[in-house]
Amino acid sequence: MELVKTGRREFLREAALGIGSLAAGAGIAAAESPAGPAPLPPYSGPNVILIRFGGGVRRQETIADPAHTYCPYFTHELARRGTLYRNMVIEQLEGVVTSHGQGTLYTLTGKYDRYEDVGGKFLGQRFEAKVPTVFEYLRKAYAVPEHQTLIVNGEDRTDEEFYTFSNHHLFGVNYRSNVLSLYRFKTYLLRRQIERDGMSEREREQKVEELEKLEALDYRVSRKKELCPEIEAFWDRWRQFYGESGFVNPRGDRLLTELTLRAIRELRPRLVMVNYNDPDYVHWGNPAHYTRGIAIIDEGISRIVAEIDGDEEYRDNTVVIVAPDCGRDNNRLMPVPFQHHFNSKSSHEIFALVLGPGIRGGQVVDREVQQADIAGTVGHVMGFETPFAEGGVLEEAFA
Amino acid sequence: MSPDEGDVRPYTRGRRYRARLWKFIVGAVFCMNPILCVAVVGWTYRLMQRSAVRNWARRAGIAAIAEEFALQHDDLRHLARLPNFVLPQPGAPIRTGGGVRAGLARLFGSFGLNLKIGAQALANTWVLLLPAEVFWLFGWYSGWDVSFNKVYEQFSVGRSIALTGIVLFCLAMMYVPWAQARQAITGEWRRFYDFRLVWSMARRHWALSLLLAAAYAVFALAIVAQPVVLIGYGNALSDAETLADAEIIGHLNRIFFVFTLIGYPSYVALRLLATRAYCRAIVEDVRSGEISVGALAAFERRQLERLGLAAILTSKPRPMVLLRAPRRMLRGLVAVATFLIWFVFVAQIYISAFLVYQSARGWLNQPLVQAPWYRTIPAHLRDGEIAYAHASSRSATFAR
Repeated sequence: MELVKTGRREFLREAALGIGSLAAGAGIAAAESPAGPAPLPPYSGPNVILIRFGGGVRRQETIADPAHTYCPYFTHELARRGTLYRNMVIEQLEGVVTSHGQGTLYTLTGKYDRYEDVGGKFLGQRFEAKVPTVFEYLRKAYAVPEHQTLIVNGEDRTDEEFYTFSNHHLFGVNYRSNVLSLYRFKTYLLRRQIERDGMSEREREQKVEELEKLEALDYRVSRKKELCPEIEAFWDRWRQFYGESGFVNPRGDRLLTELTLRAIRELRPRLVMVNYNDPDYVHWGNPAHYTRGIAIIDEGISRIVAEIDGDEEYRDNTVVIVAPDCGRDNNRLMPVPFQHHFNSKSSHEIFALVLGPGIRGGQVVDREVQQADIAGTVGHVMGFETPFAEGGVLEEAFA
Repeated sequence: MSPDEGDVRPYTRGRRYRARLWKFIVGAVFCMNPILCVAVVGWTYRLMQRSAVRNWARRAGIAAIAEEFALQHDDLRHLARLPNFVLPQPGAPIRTGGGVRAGLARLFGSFGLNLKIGAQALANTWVLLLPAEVFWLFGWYSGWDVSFNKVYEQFSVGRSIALTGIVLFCLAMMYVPWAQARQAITGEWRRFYDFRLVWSMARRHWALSLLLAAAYAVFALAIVAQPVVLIGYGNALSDAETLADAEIIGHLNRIFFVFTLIGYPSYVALRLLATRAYCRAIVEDVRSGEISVGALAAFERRQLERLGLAAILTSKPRPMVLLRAPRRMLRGLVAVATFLIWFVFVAQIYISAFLVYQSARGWLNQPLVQAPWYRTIPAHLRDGEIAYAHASSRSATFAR
């Protein structure tokens, strides 16, 4: 009975994979063909760390007024090392929404699009990009292993775990990035616990059920394909250090910082996106949640930059791009004007900082640029084309 | 003190409508200010007392001459007309002699009385509701700290505080509307705390309790509508960033006034509904012997006796043994439904807080339950409020 059940599940997963990204079709066929395409060249360009100053932040509390910023490191120190775009916007187009999932995908794909939750869930952010992400472009152009293209994701927004590849027929699952998050750690842990001896049958059944429930969320990727030995080893070390309880490791955006630092040390990623999110908790109305969240990200950025500066292979070989996923309202009629981000003018207004080798330092650009330009800029830095991205390149940044 | 000999004759129909409209406008304007709003609460309590006398008069079969009934009795003459907001009430006792206080009373007698009754009303209501509302306030903050601490250790603290507050509020609200009506009708603040009498009345008349809760839940839709309007209007203001604070306050004042025009009559309507429920319940309970005449407050005993409503008509037959259990079960079901409707009312408060958070004020004053005060000027516009006041007074000067 169990066999049948498992078989059907596997079948459904594979079927979903087929429907979700036919793709991958082309990708898989190419990769698995005995004749196969020519081997991809190794990647030797700079690394890119894309930091989502996320959860939606306004210019007012970040870059607008250095005397009243809640991210002093970013504004006073880091900005001097790179090119600051003070007037980046998310274009006002029909169907273009200022929210976290959408902003992340505009950044990753370089295209503004109308996104709807694939399950039709209210407020759901389970989106599937129609055009490739920068991870897919990179991995299709160069021999970069999956574990060196990463999304570092938080605990609250599981939907954003799955922005690792698009539904584009020339790209898709075979060029996807991997994800570091507590969701991934939990599935890893459950698999390990199920393998372990000394567990009662009832307990094992519960763990299996729990694992199935978690894995079912990632319906586009089969379990076998998901397992990546380097990532599994990463989680082994994480478990040794922090244990299994979840009580020891950092929480919220501090967790993301920790995961990123460990990833740099252990996985040597080429392209990473860090999905910070804490400032968004101001939706509950406490302004301190917002400013505290900004300060936590500021601290996280300083630690990531310090890690890069202290690592011989990353120092002078890593470009960091920091940009919010969206802005926030500036609704002066409300006691907390920035409580939400309802597609207002202010929620379309963001900023970006680019720094690293080949990037002009101490430069401020006031020209209006687009969030969708980030993907093209990543392509420009890493040396791949982004033919499906509609944005351009943040040219002023390059020396 | 001596009775006021002013004109207390009933208004003609046209004048009565004009008077109602005037009271409505004055009340709505008063609701825009937190102090004057207390006077509105007091005025509403006086209106409830007047409404109770009319209700009982109708029950006694003299509906057509309810005003005349009031005029026939010295202690009711001040109820012949709608209560005043500021000027002394015709027919009400007035302070005699000289001195500043007597002079003020002769000029603004109703205002002082409204303030006094309103303050008593709010104090009593807060005694029962403030603990629950403080729980909400802290539960919200602590509960959402889970965003940073995640659902691990002590995550249940905030949630438990909030849930405790919700349960306390729902339980208290099964009592408060009845007790408010009793305080208003008897004119004695202490009568709010006749726990045994009020609670037993609420229990015997669950259907009326259910109706009251449902009415509150329906009228509270405006509570949710207000933040939706604030969000939509605020984000749609294309030049909001360049407007002076005083101009933003002007926009806010217009929005709050519109909501006051809805919220203030809703507040009054709910109080009058509670009054009707109370009047009906007390008459039924006195007539059936459930409440003894001795347990009534002086004012209500006097009126019921005058109108012949205090006599026990028939002693209520106890239901058949077989019917007792189903009746008890039905009563229990209605009680649960009432609790759940109050829960819906609270849910609307929570949705409103999520949409537009107003810190302590949003939790500690519920405009339909305590004071009908809707106007909140955000802290970041406070400087602009002074400028707005100056600008308003200047334009008023020019207008003159």
